Amino acid sequence: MASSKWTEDKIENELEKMPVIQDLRSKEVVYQEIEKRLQEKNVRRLKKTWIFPGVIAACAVGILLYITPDLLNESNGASEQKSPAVHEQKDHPKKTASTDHTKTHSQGNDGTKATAKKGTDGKNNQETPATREASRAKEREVATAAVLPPVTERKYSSPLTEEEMQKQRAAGRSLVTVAYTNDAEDVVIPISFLVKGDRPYADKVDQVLQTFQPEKVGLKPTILNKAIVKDDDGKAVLDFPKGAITSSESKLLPKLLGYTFAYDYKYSTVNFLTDGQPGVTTDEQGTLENMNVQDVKGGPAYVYTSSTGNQFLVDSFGAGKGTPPASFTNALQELSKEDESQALSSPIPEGTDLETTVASGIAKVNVEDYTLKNEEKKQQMIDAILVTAKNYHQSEVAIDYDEQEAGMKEVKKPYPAIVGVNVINK
Amino acid sequence: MKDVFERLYEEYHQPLFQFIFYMVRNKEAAEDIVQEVYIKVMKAYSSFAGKSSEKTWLFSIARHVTIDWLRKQNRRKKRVLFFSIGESEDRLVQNDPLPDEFLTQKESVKELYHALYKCTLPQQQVIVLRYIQSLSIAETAAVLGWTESKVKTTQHRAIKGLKSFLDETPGLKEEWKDGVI
Repeated sequence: MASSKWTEDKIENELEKMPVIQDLRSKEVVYQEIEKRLQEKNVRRLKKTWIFPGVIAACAVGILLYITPDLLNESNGASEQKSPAVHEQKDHPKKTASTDHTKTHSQGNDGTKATAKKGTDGKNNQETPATREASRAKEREVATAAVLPPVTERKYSSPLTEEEMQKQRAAGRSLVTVAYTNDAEDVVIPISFLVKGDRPYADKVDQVLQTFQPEKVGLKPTILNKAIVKDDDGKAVLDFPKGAITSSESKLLPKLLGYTFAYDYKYSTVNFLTDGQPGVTTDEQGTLENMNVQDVKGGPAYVYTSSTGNQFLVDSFGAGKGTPPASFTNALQELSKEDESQALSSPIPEGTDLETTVASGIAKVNVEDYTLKNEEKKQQMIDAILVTAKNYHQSEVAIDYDEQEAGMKEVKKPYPAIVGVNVINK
Repeated sequence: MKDVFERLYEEYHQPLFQFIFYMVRNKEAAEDIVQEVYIKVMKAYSSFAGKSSEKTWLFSIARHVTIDWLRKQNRRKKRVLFFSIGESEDRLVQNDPLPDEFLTQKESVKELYHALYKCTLPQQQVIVLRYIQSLSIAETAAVLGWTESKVKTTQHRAIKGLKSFLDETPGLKEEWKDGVI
């Protein structure tokens, strides 16, 4: 059998000698062709149809139809049996007991009395932060099953627009964001929830921590699940059981607190207690009495896919990707690049070009897309742009969508601002 | 706009056209794509910040437009021919005839030309940029938006892959026997 005469050096030499291929057209001919094509594009732009806004309007009607029966049921008092995660506190005896227990740290005998009054069995009277996690597990199982949409509908949870949120507020709901992690604990994922009731934000956070089971969407509970969270005169207070914070958890603590207490609602600091006494001890930072939580740096929003296939938008700060780019324009450029280092993917598909300009406070993003036909992926890309804009305090974003195969479609009006991220119980 | 076009044409047109041609292997398509590249360049020229060189910026835009074209072509083929669902998207097979410039070339060059398109799309890009366009590792990395080490790794794998494809080519084995190469 003859041995190969191709060597790697020979291949490299032959490649360098590949024939030169030239465009034989003159400069003038090429320029005329370009002008002709530009004119064709302009004509198409003039003839554009407003299909994209139409789709958005149809979606809005769909959402409205979906929400309306729920609102009607609520008015009849029926929804409170359907959605435990959005219950008001008075309808949740176990949660009330737990929350009231926090008062035992600060109120002494009065707190104990309150717990006894509202508890439904003797066990609640002895509940401590250390035992609370176990007692909540079963409750979370039931509540999470009820709050999550059917499996087929929950793979991607988009943010809410400000307009949608106004309707939710009118129905007595507010938005609460709580941070969870991936299994490897190297990505912090903020999840937003619609919660009923007029109570301080920290109390609603506590309610979510009690009721939502992150494992159902492929995420992991965090150190916050071990704490009792409450609002004390406008300040968020976390009461941990003694020795609850491990070394790895303490590293994550600033990000978990930042996304939970300063993403939607702006607490400036969080105070710590350990079994009711001031301060908490961590391996990383020693004893802390409080922590500044204003330092959520944001950055471009990537797509994280969990082990259950659920997809969430995670910004580069939460993903530990170092210092985020300095500007919104740079962030979108960064977002278009491939990332092979983590379980994150760019929401901007390869083959889609973004051109960003910021003038007079309005960011204009021109999306040129020849390939993207999946409506959910398209929505995910737009959401990621809007979440990135939010991270850079860019309140007005106009997105021009230029889809060549199906003719020009354009949305020139600024997109509505978004609130929350990864809203799980819309 | 015309002034900018004329300058870019003088400096970069033939290298850009050649890069696009070696990616799509069709002169008419290359003519079409290079025009699209100019349109994108004109639209974005005012926002070109000069952080990268003009040359790598232009090649980067050409690369994006070319990949879009290749993917569109591949999807069309799949639709028309009910092509295998399992076909890897980054191996884009085409059957265009050899261009005139190759007719007078040695058989080995023709075989190398065919073998090149058995490589994956990232490997093809690296080979064309590095060897046919003579871009440096740093320039290639800037065009592709990769690290230099990724360029080196992909180049190494591409050459190994090419050797393996060429070793499997029956026609060449006959040529070696005849001492043509």
